[in-house]
Amino acid sequence: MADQQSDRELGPDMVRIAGVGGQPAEATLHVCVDGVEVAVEPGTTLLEAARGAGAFVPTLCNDDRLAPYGSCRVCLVRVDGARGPVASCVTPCTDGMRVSTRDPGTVRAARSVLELMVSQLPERALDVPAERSELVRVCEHFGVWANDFGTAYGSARGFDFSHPYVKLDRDLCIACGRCVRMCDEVQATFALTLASRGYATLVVPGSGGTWATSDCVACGGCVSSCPSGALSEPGFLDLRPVSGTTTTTCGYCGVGCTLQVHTRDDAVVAVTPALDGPVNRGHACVKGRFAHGFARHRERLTTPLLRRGGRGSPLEPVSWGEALGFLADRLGRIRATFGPDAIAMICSSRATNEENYLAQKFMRAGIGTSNIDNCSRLCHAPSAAGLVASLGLSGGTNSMEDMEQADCFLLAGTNTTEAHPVVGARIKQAVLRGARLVVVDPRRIELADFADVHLRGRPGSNVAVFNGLAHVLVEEGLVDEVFLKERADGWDELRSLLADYPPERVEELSGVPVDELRRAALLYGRAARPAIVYGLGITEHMHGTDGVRTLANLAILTGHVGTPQGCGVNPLRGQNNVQGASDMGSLPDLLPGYQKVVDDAARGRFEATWGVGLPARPGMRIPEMFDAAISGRLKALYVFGEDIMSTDPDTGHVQAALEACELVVSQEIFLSRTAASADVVLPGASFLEKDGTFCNFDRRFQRVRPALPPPGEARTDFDVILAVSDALGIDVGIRTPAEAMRECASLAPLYAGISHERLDREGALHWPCRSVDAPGEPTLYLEGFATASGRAQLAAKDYLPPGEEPDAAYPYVLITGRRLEHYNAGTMTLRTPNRDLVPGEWLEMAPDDARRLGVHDGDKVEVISRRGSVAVPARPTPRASSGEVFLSFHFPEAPSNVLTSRVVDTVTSCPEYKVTAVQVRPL
Amino acid sequence: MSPIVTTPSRDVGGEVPRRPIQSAQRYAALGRGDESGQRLVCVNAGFQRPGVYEVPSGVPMRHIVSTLAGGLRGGARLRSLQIGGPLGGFLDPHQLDLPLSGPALAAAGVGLGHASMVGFDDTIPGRAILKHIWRFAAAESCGTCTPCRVGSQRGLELSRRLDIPALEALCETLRVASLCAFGPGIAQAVRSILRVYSDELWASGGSR
Repeated sequence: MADQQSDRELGPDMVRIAGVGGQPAEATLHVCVDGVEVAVEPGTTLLEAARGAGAFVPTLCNDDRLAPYGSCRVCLVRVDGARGPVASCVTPCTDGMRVSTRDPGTVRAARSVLELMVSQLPERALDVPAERSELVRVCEHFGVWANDFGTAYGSARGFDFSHPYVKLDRDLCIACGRCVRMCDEVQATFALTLASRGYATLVVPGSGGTWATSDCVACGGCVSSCPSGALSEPGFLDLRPVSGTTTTTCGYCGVGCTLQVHTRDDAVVAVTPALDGPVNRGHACVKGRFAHGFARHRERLTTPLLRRGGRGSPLEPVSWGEALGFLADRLGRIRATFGPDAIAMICSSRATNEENYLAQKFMRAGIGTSNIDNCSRLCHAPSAAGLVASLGLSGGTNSMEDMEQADCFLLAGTNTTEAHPVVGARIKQAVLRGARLVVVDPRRIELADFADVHLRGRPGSNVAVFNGLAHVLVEEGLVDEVFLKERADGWDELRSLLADYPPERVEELSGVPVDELRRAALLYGRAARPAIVYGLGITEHMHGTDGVRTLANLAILTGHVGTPQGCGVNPLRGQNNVQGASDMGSLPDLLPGYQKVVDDAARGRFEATWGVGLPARPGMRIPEMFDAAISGRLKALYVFGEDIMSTDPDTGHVQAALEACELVVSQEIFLSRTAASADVVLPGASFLEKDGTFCNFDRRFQRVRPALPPPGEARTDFDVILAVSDALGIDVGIRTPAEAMRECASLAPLYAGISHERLDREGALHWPCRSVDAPGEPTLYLEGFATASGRAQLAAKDYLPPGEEPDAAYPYVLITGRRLEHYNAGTMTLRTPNRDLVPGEWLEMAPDDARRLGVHDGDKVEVISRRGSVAVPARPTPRASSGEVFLSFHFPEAPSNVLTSRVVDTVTSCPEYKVTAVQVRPL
Repeated sequence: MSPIVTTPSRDVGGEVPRRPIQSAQRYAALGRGDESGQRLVCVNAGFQRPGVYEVPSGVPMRHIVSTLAGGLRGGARLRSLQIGGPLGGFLDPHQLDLPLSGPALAAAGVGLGHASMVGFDDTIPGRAILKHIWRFAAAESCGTCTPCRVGSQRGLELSRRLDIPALEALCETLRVASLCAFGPGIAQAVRSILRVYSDELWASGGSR
């Protein structure tokens, strides 16, 4: 019988699904659907062919994000010569097939299947608006509105509304399994299953308990795929139609997911991932997908605030006129008295490219200083410096699409599934498909569970580990000598340095066992297309730039960068527009497009276009701004979209700097700790309210479009900066974001071909994009490296110890970082139901350390560094190594940056967030 | 062709030991008609001589039912013969001259399945058998595809109400639209009951 069935669906002459990867070059197939001839590639399903022919085939269990499944049986079509109807979604085309989607008998069969399905559902299943329910649309197609079985709907399986975002109405479940498959095939969390069997089949969280207590990571994949409304989300439980849908780019991490924001009455109803998003392709995470409630939170700043009675008086709401008047007066006086360099701005990696462009132009051309920096200083400045020095450009070398072709991932210092969940899920899927995985991270992060090798070096030992890996590559003959000869410099110097890094010595320096180091090097060195993907675990060190360079060495040594073989070196950017803020020149030493301030020719072009002389000296970096404020050289600090009191290291020092300034301006969406310390607060806008572009981790310009107006009297940050300029009598010469992008493109050759109009027309573009005809470069350096010599630069860098090391008084190393559900200072996520998912901070510590201290799960402990202390509950977990503890920096009640030090990367001043010596005391 | 007392559930148990000794040709020469080889047929305890019989493919079923198994115990009248397991199907006693062969039985609307047989006497109502088959279907459906997942439950309800036209329509949906062979199997078994017990079912209130 089984034979008979498979015969019917995949007859011997019909089985020709091309194998994954090794697909033979087969001729195009010709298929006739409803009289329309279509030519398709081998492996195309009948469903795809039918769509290609313009026919509509109803489906319910099919989702283009998932492998074909064939369970709902409503996509039946007739194929000439087949014994009966076939499910088009799982039937591959064969040459000469003649298909009918309208054959009456087949349509009748599909309709009767649908009637059966509907007979199981309560009437409310068909009350869901058609645009939100594939089931309703399919019912409309077939004209099915009730069932012929006379069976009153009798079951009442109830609801699971335990989760803040994922809402299950069990009675609407049609057991299509799309939710389970999204969880498995797209997200790779494996939290769901179809339980029971037969008529009782139903989705349940795999743990068997409630959704809230399950392994669900709230990516929303299941909800976005559910065709019947069984899985829904809070905004869509309200059946009223939405009034608008806006396609934009996510404002959380740097992955750059394309989102659709559905609104009603100037509020967000729901956010769904765009199926055609070039990076996310229909996926998202708990932040981008669900954490939008902050946008209309009652604590949003809706008017300017001013201390009318000076420092010591409260911040009170004032008109824009009064705030701007005050600001113009004070800024003007400071500039007149102390010169423009007494003023500095910290720009925002969360703001758009256009706002960053405007802000740096305002500072450089308007105020007359180079004192502008952005928070990439605190995360990926070492990437910028390191990658420029090694390869030439300040960006990752390859695209997301390239990385998906990798057969080996070297993940270093990135907890990808938490900090960049959509990329993390892709990497996990690639690994499940067979790609090899090396994880370099002191913590046993989730992806370490999937790794072939997990190198768990001590925090601060990256350079030793990377030199050790390079040593083994050399020893094992895995170095591409031809590539080095033709395309790289510095090989002799590096080779002699690497002689000092045999695995045995690296083990002493880092704690990474010799065998594991060797295995990791062999995996990377022997792979055909390995990708290096890294995060802040590499950069946020005293020798972070050296870390980036010694990591890049591995790709250069093996010829896996700038070639079709290999996926280069790719930093995962922490915030939505870290790449873009730097691209736009919100940097003290670089003009837009990474043109040096000290380069007279480059600066001259800007001076010519802007019609004003520009300072020829680089300005202050963020840590230097704080020092200058304390020493009295800096009088006014304009902080735009960053809570430096929470996110910059050594909070006490930051506070002292703010107190020392005569004027502190905060441009914010909430009264952050920084805003609360400011003299004047200007209400800005969230990404949901803005027009412009973001540039993501793979150098992709993507459009940001306003779904909401800013609340109250708040303005977009573009308009705020314009208003400040106007108040100061400065004409910045641009009035709209589109104009800003156009001007930037005219001055920065890397972005010359980029404009809003083109992005709207063609979609995302990678820089470099040097002309309006250029397609953009997803993969860098195929023609040559962008260094002065056109050759990659190997770096011979010795391991140097971190700035702080544990000792008898402070015996633990504190690592700081992110957790999945929250984002940076928590300004946004803590004002959403993500707070219900993760309500507070905890200290991760190794179980043996906890035992030694007599600390049990949930016991409160005090974490003390040389600078301060934080009290948090402890959670012993094998994810932490002995002697190491971990805190996020999301929660105001656990301000971990009270503890961190002012040690910075020797090259870029990026703080050493990843290594702080602390002691832990039970309370 | 004496009864074998071990009871393997499929025919391989009987064939395997012979293969090394017999040549392929000799094995293929066994059997009659369009199927070669031997079959192990288990007949249930309702027969006078229950057990497992190894017979050549293609022997008339009457040979097994009457000659080998000796008819039903206590002289009961055979009302129907279930062959091939729960989803194989039911034959009317007048069909027992059919050969024990897949194609021949398929032509008669039942499946050879594992070829074993259960005899039903005339004290068992067709309606009970109908409900039993649907209970089996509903309990065994894996629930993956819609026709079988929901249809097996609806069939059980319809069989309680004895809505024969609706059952016929449901069987057609199961036959053409199911994902695996289980759905068509249900349809095959149910249709054979509707055939064999037609008069009785209509007489006992079968209706819309």
